[in-house]
Amino acid sequence: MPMAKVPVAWGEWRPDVATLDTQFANDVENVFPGSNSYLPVPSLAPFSDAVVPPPPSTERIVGLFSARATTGEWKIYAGTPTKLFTWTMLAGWSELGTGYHVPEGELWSFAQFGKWVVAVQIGDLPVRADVDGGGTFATFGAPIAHNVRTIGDFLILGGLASNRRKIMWSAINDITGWTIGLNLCDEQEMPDGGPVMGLAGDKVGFIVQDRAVSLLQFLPGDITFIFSISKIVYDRGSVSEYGFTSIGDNLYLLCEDGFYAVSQGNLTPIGHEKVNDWFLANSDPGRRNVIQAITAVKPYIFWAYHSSPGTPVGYYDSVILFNWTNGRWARMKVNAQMWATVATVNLDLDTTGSEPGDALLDSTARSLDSFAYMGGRPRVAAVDPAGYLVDLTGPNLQATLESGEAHLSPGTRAMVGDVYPLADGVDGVIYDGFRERLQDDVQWTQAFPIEITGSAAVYNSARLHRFRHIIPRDTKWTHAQGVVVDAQQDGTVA
Amino acid sequence: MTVIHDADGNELGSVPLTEKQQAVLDAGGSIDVLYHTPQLMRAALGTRSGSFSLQQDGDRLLTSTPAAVKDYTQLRAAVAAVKAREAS
Repeated sequence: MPMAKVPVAWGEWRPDVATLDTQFANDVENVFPGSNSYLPVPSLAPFSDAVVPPPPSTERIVGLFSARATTGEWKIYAGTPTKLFTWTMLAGWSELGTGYHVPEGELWSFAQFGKWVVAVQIGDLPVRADVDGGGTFATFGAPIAHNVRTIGDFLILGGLASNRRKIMWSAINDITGWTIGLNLCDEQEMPDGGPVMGLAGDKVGFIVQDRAVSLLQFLPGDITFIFSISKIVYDRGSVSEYGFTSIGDNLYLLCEDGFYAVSQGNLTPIGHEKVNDWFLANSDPGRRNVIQAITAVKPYIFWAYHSSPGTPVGYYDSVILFNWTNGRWARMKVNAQMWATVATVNLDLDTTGSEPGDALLDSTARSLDSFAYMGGRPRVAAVDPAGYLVDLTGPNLQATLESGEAHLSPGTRAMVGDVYPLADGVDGVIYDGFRERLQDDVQWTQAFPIEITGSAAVYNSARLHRFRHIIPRDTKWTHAQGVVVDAQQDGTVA
Repeated sequence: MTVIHDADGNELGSVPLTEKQQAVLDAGGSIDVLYHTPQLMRAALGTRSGSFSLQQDGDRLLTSTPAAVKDYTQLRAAVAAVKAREAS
């Protein structure tokens, strides 16, 4: 039998299904899922020289948010369990509030309402600060609650301290109005469904509970009912107060048994027979209550999580990400204390400013493609374990792509010759995972470098093969589609 | 709580004003106050709603719709009574 060129695509990552002789990938790490390829994930690069909290404090960050001033300028806010800070390019981090008591296992919940940024957590009364005028955070009459969301002309608190099944909304267009029965301020108690984990959406709002999801729609002109509340999901809800997000009128959430989307009142499983079982087996059950969902600028949703009980306290070490346009998944191994979509004012490129790192263009610590020079563009950002503001603009992370297992020559062993990766970053190495029987453990060859021919000379014989391509960190590449394998029948298994 | 008077200077009741409402009044404007039976008390108190307008006149807060203010004041008293019953 002559040598055949056998294409092996990386395919969709679906670790929950059997991948033998399928088009599905066994593993994909540090890549974004495209429609017919995987794309590189940049590493986190600092765009600030200042750490939060400023030394000597060593508290961890439990809140990160970006708000926009009336002028259009972006402001960044972060919180520790006891303090709130704001960041500017000029001044770094400045303390805007202290003396708070965010309990262990809770995070700050932020919302913007007009010129106010509101910060809520269950340990203290909600506080607000003026995004336009600056100033410190101060209470404003709202009751203690777990979380906050702006929906239409109302600021809505979820999971009240007095009753976690309650939500309460402010007076219309007035976040200092918290007298129930005045100016449309009121509260509602969910009769069942467990604690309110939070709110999402806007025109179509969502009340997300532990075991239910309800729609929340404003009834303009109705002083009596104000909002229409109708339960649409009866037996599932979010495991985390921070583990859901909405895009348009669609809600994406992590439930006890995996990932779901709620769209037009319908619950759709988006992780079943894809990543649910893998995720539940590879995440720390004890810290699922703080899993964080972030809506990226591109069509991705990030869920940041702790991969095991051994993950250190203080930062997430993993992200599972979902491309909501094509329903595909991938994962990242990145450490970050807190994630958020943020934007900032730009650092100008002249060399006369007083901004740190701007005095001498040729000696600045930042590269010219740093996020610091791109003001007003929202990005997925984070606070890294060292306390630096970072965003996904660094050199590409090391990527790992692993195919499903295949009988390259059905019924016989297959001799694999050259393996030609379909990726425009030609660096990297190829491994061949092989075994003779499905009952055997998979063995891996040594790493074969990709040579000047663009192929790796693997030369290995077995009945079953799978391939792994590792693209090193810092490699510039745009798409990885799979490999083309030179395979030849190599006799039967004796 | 700010005391509300009618045009003849009679006290009608009081209402908590937010800082935004107070700013409008301080600037010489008038505000409309909407009221309704709290949703979780409808079973006990029925469904009532209405509105009244307020304007600052010197150190007094005046309304031109005293009947609505009285209705609101009665509702507030009923709400307070229900809360007291629930607390006891």
